[in-house]
Amino acid sequence: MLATLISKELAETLGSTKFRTGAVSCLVLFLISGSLLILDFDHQMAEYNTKRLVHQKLIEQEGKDLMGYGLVQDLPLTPLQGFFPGAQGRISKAVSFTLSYEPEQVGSVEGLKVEKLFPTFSLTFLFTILMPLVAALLAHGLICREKQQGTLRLIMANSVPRSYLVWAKWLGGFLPLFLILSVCSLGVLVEIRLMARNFSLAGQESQLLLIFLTAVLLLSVFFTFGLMVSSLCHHSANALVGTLAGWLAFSFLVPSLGAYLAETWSPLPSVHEITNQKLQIARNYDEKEHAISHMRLEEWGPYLEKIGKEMDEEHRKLDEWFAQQLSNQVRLARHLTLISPVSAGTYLLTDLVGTGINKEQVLVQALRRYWEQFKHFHIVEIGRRTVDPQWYASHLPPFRVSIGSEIGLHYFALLVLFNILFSIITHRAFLRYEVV
Amino acid sequence: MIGHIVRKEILNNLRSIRVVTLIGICLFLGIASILIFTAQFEQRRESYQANEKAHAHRLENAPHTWWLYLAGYDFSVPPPKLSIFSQGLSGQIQGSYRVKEEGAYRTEEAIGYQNPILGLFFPPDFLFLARLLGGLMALLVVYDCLVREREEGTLLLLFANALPRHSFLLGKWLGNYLIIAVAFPLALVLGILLSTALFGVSYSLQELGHLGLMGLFILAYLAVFCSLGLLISVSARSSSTALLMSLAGWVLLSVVLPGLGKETARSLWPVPASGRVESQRYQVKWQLHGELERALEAIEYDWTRTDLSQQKDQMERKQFEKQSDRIWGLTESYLNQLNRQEAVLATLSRLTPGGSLVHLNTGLAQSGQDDLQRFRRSVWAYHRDFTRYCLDKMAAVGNETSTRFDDLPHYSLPVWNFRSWMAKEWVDVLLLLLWNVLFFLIAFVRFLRVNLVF
Repeated sequence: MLATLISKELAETLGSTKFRTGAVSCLVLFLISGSLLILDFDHQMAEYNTKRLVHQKLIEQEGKDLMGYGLVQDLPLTPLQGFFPGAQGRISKAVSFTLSYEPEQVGSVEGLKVEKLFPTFSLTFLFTILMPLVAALLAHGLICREKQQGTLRLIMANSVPRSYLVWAKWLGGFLPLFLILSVCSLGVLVEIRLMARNFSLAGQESQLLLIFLTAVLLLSVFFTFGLMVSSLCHHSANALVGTLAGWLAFSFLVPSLGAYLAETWSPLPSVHEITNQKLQIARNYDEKEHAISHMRLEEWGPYLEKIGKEMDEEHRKLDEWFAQQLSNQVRLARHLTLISPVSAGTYLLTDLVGTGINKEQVLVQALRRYWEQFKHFHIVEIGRRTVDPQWYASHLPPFRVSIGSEIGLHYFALLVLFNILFSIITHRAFLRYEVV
Repeated sequence: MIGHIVRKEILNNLRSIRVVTLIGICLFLGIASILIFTAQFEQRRESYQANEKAHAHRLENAPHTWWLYLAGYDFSVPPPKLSIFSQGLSGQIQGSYRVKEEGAYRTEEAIGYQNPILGLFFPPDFLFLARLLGGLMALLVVYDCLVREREEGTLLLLFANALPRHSFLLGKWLGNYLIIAVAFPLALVLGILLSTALFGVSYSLQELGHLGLMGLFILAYLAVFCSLGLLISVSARSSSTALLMSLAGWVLLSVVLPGLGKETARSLWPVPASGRVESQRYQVKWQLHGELERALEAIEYDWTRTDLSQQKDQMERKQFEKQSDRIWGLTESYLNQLNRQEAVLATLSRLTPGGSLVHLNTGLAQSGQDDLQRFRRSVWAYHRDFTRYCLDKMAAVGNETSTRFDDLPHYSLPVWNFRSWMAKEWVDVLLLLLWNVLFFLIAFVRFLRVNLVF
């Protein structure tokens, strides 16, 4: 009986205008977005390669003088970052290092472009926001519309167990959706193979498979959610509103409110406050340094070393304290936003690709470590010597960072939990559902 | 008779949970968005003030003019207040910048001092909500206003009363539009009041005027989708088909088509990577520095010259002026090409009503295309002023003499002008009206031929 019900649902879904229109729309959307992203990323790679050459040439020409004016290093750019931008999207691709100031992001004024008024929607947006909407909308009328049409009581008149009907609705509705997602994803991969000139995704098959699985899981959560709303409503128009309200809450409200509330409840000192405190530490060091004029010559060395260590220790404590505050805020924001499956899906996707929150912090740490190496190279290795720019360019420590990817199993588990929760509510609601 | 139909539609909609919920959601999200962005605006304004202090401190500690010329002078651009309602390109414009010998650059805050989650989930601004959600809401309210009546058989009953078709259609449109038109303007007004009460943000008369206009344009935009929804309702044979067509139309007009403009503009009017013009600027710098060094070497051992030092200063100044002119020439040529590409993008983006709305509202919020283009030029014009200042200063007091820079000209943003904004944007106003008329007329023509029963 279950098999009969599933095949009936499958046939109905696959044969419906609704499914065909949805499938064609999704395919067109993915192919167009995919091609736009590929062209956009090609353009970004061209910009990145040009700038990297310029900055390399600058080092070879100007050499040591750059330590005062700013040595620019370009951050690595990977294709998946272009398709799934995440937390790292905020950090620009070039960072300037000087001896006196913290590393800062730099960009040219000509790089400010009007096209940012109409951004291309990334694959993160398509997988976490649009496809779940499609899934929820396809599911929202599965039960209540049958009731409105009067066919539900005819089915139940055949002594069909209610749980069978729910499973049949779920499987019969979700499998075609899975098919749509598979075809769309394959379409994008084929496009990348055919259109991409400056990059390829070879060697990242396992990552791509995990990304696909994440998208399937997120899709199933929202499909189950739509089915749940359908089992709670008796009119398809109300089910539509409930589904949309849920999608809006999960996709926009909870994630952005969560981050904002975390900022309000666990505020961070601004970068200027930290910079001012560091400047104060430096001023204190300067004042202490003046005290050597009252000391004997042989006492200078140990005294300077002592106050230098004290200054480094104060800097370290300040940095650690700030890192702790930041970590608290990030943790609170993460917990608040995880009420939404979209947040869990986004964290999972971006961690897989290497643009997640943890990876952003890895990049920040790598930049700070490089700054220490940069200062050491100039102060200790070069010192006051005059060096040839070519020598400088060949001996300058290279900036390397390996971001890698991470599988957030707890996010997987959370998405499965959402699925189970919505499924339980659906079953319970349908057990009491009036079919007439 | 139209009045009766309008009243009937309004009452039906007010009794419908779907419509009331949709309006409630848009109202809530609109107000929440305004409040979140007001809080962010306050933070950005504080950051701007702190940056200004840091820049002043850096200038005070500049050892001499030659260092200032090479290392650069920093300045900040404040966030425009109306970016609370329409972010547009304000994120591109507002921030810190540095002008130095070979160019003008944008610098961001030091890395690692912000919560990275803010980069992952950026909240939608009011304009984004109105554009995407407003359009969707309008379609979802109107999509079945006609087709449902056909399905239920009430359409036939209505037309048994000798009701003119045009009156009926106009009544339907008005009745639904008046309901749709409530949410966003109300959210705007409440958002302004709450942001004033909770955050102490005050708005001048001019800013309120701009907000009023933004609200009007949003209403015009919602009217477009109301007309589109009516057209879909006339054309569809069932409610579920009408729903699908509405969603497909929304995805096409709000998601797909706006994104196509960028790549099409790049293909039709390609512009080299900005890194290339940066490279060319450095080439000019190195080439002219090399020439200067050789010229200075040539006169170095000429013992017959009594004014050697003065001669050297004059040669340096001429060379740096030449460098500044050539750099400006390269940049101006690049900016002209970029402006032309962006003009193509602007034209293509106007193929959708959302594009017109974005241009109108971002222009009013001083975060639009023209603002960015004027801003880019003004920064480079300031670069020339800065170069001239440094050269004059070095000529007056010497390259490496410690001096104060109280007389350094400060950067000021180009002044926004309503007339020049209107001169460019009247096209968008016209386009929004045109979309409305077009969809309504097509709906009317189709409705004249529609069977009142299936």
